Amino acid sequence: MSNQKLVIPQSEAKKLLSLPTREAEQLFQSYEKAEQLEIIRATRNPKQREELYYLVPDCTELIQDSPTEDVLQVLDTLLGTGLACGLLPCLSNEQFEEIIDIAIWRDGKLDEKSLSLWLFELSECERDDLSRFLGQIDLRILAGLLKDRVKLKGALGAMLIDEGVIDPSSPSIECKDDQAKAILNAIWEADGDLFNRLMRDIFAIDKEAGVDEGLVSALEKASAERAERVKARDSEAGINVTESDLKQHVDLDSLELAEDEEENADE
Amino acid sequence: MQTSKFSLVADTVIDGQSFLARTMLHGDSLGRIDSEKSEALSEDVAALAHKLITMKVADLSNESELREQIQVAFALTSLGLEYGSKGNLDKAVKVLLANPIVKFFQIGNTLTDKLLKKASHILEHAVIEPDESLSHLDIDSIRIYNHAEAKFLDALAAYNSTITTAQVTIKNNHPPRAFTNLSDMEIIRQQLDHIEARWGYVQALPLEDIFTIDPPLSIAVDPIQTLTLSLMANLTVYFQPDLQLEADTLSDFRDIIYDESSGEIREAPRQRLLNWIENYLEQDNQADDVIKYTVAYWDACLQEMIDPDSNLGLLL
Repeated sequence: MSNQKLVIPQSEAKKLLSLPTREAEQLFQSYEKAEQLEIIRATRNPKQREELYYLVPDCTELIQDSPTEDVLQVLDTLLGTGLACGLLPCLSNEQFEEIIDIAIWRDGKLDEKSLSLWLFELSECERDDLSRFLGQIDLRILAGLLKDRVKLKGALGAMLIDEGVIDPSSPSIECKDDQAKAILNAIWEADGDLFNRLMRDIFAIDKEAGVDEGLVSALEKASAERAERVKARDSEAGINVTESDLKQHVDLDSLELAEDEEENADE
Repeated sequence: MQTSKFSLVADTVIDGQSFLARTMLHGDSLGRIDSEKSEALSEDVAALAHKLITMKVADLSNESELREQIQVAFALTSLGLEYGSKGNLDKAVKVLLANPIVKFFQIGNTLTDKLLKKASHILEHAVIEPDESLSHLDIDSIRIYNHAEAKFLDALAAYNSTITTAQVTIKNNHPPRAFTNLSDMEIIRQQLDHIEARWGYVQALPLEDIFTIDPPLSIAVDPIQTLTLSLMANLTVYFQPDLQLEADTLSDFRDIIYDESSGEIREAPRQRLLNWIENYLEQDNQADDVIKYTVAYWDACLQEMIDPDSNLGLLL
């Protein structure tokens, strides 16, 4: 049926959003996936775009075939509410990594506030999903985020971590704020092994460098790796400008610009 | 899954007044920039704007932040192109075709960065702070800039300007608009120099008793104008550079300085005041630009007195 239809995405989106839910679902589901994606993509208001995703019983495919930045825009409207967990499980691992590579970095530096917000939102997800997503976040970044918010008390703490028998409820672990505690709990519940590795990273167990020194260097490496991933993705999409290009200044006193001469200037 | 370089900058149109837009139009009229090339150039700027957004904006659902970054991308690219071509449209077409778009953005960024840093420094530091010994009194600091100038300084951080010409004192703001031409930058540079010179002038004044003035200067619409009026009135009436202004002093000052019949400032007392501040700053070894600006500032403050719309007009 939809093969014969001429869909004008913008007007179709407007129509869908004005219809009663059931009618809108029927109409939207009558379109082929490519048309549905066109309609979603043509809808620039992220809240309205979110409504369109919900017009199919399972929007996983639509989410995964949408431009990453468009999906992130929708998720950004939900961050901090705990409601993003309705859409987060639809993301593929690759898409999640791409989103995190944008969402938690500002000007090439880790944005701890955004990371905290994302971890809070993730902690509302089902444990399986949380475990899947945590596996996509660089452990060094999590350690960097929590290093000043989690402290080890007493002489036994390091030994308990070393033995792998520590958990967030242990009296040896002191969290400076409730959000850090919630994040640790979520990581522990999702993946005990990951939690233990995180503790080792935060407190530099088995590491030669000191805690701060080790984490700074680890964060620098994580940042460089992220920059490479972003560059590769952008290049694939035809974007050749990098973040470092945009930050670069020029020497205005010795500015030399090439000039394109007319092809037939001598004729 | 794909990274779209267009989704975040959808429906954006290049500002027709910008140097970049005029260059593309000029290139079209010369037959050097056809529709395909024009499309490619627009895509390059769009990609740049997209990159800037993902780099700077924490919440992609915030449309005003997206618009701001798109505007920055266009404005800086246009400024860089105008600078790189010295404002010559023929040359602009040639350099636009031969260099990556990001190069012009970098030039524009370098040009504006210095101004923006200066604006931010003034906004934060151009204030008179009470001495630590007065910290128990909960006294507000006194700003060197007035409300309209605070708005101007604030708007610059978002690559907007609220003025169309440089003024001794900004009195009224225009709605913020993006600065996309080098002439805008020059106006902004001059205005920042003016505010900075005023800062130098105020620092040269005897400010020991400034926080004992009643009512406090911190609540004045334009603290430094009020301070200057106090100085001028006390100098004219008592030959003393006091900062505290009494109502009867103000009234006497008005009688001396203002010629009711002509509706103008009397020349002799005006010149005495301007000479006094010039000599004062010279003896304090202030830079020429500070002295020159301050004399103009004092004169402007005097002229304000006969402006029926000014705050000083109301005071008098």
